[in-house]
Amino acid sequence: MADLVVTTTESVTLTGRQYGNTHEATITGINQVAQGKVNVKSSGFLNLLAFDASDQQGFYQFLNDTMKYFRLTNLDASNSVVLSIGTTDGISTPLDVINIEIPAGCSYVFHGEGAVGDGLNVAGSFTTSAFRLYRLSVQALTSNVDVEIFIATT
Amino acid sequence: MATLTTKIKEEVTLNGKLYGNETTKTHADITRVKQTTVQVAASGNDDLFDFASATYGIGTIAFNKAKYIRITNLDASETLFLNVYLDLGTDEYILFQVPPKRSWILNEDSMEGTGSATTTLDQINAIKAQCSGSDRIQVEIFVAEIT
Repeated sequence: MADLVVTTTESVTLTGRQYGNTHEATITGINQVAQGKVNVKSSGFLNLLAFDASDQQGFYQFLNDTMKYFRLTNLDASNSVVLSIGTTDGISTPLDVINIEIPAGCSYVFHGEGAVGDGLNVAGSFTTSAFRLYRLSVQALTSNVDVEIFIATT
Repeated sequence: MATLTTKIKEEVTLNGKLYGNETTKTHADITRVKQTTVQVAASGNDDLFDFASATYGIGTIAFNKAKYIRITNLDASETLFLNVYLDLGTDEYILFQVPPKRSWILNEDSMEGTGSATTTLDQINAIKAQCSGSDRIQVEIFVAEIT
């Protein structure tokens, strides 16, 4: 098992004063990583990764509750991509789907909580009840883009 | 106007091989920056900030102007529960859990929570927060906007 160290930094100077900060997080117990670059079309969603209770299948399907860290970076210089995160309560799949736009050059980072689920839900009122990950898919908004994905699991 | 530089770096060594990457993004034309540390309670739900069409106060972000939003859970043991609030006439709250010492980053102020994958997104109206445990935790917020 290994430790994954994630560092986040931002810096900007406005009217002579620097703003921003650096944060470092150490994520323990990492046993598997997958890293790759894929082309994403603007015609329909492409399934990137899935999660399942009983079976791991190569780079595509991981076991439930094992995801500790996921990053998707939009490598394109001008076009956005939408990341669609499907959730499940073990009965309905997908239960809720959360759709997030990632502009050109930007990244979306997602931290899993392991055994207590992956921390997502859509509800009609404020909620702290999390469902687990079911599937991650992507679609480019106007033109095809390349994205880099990095996932670390227990 | 200024340029904001953001970096995300991850490193892990498995079987003697280093995995990970460092991604850098520059955001031009930044004119407003808000950086603060607030306390979040374990009961109720606190408004961290909201979004509006024409209000530019410290607690409000103008629609389509935020280029980088980071919310960091500074606590060592408790989880931060963020709810992205989309007001669609029927209330919609999207939960994101932020484990201890981790950050949640957003580069667009639109999102959608629905039953299927879609590229049609709605404006975020507010981001609300609550923590696990029984005591308040500290949360750092950083927002950079264009005019």
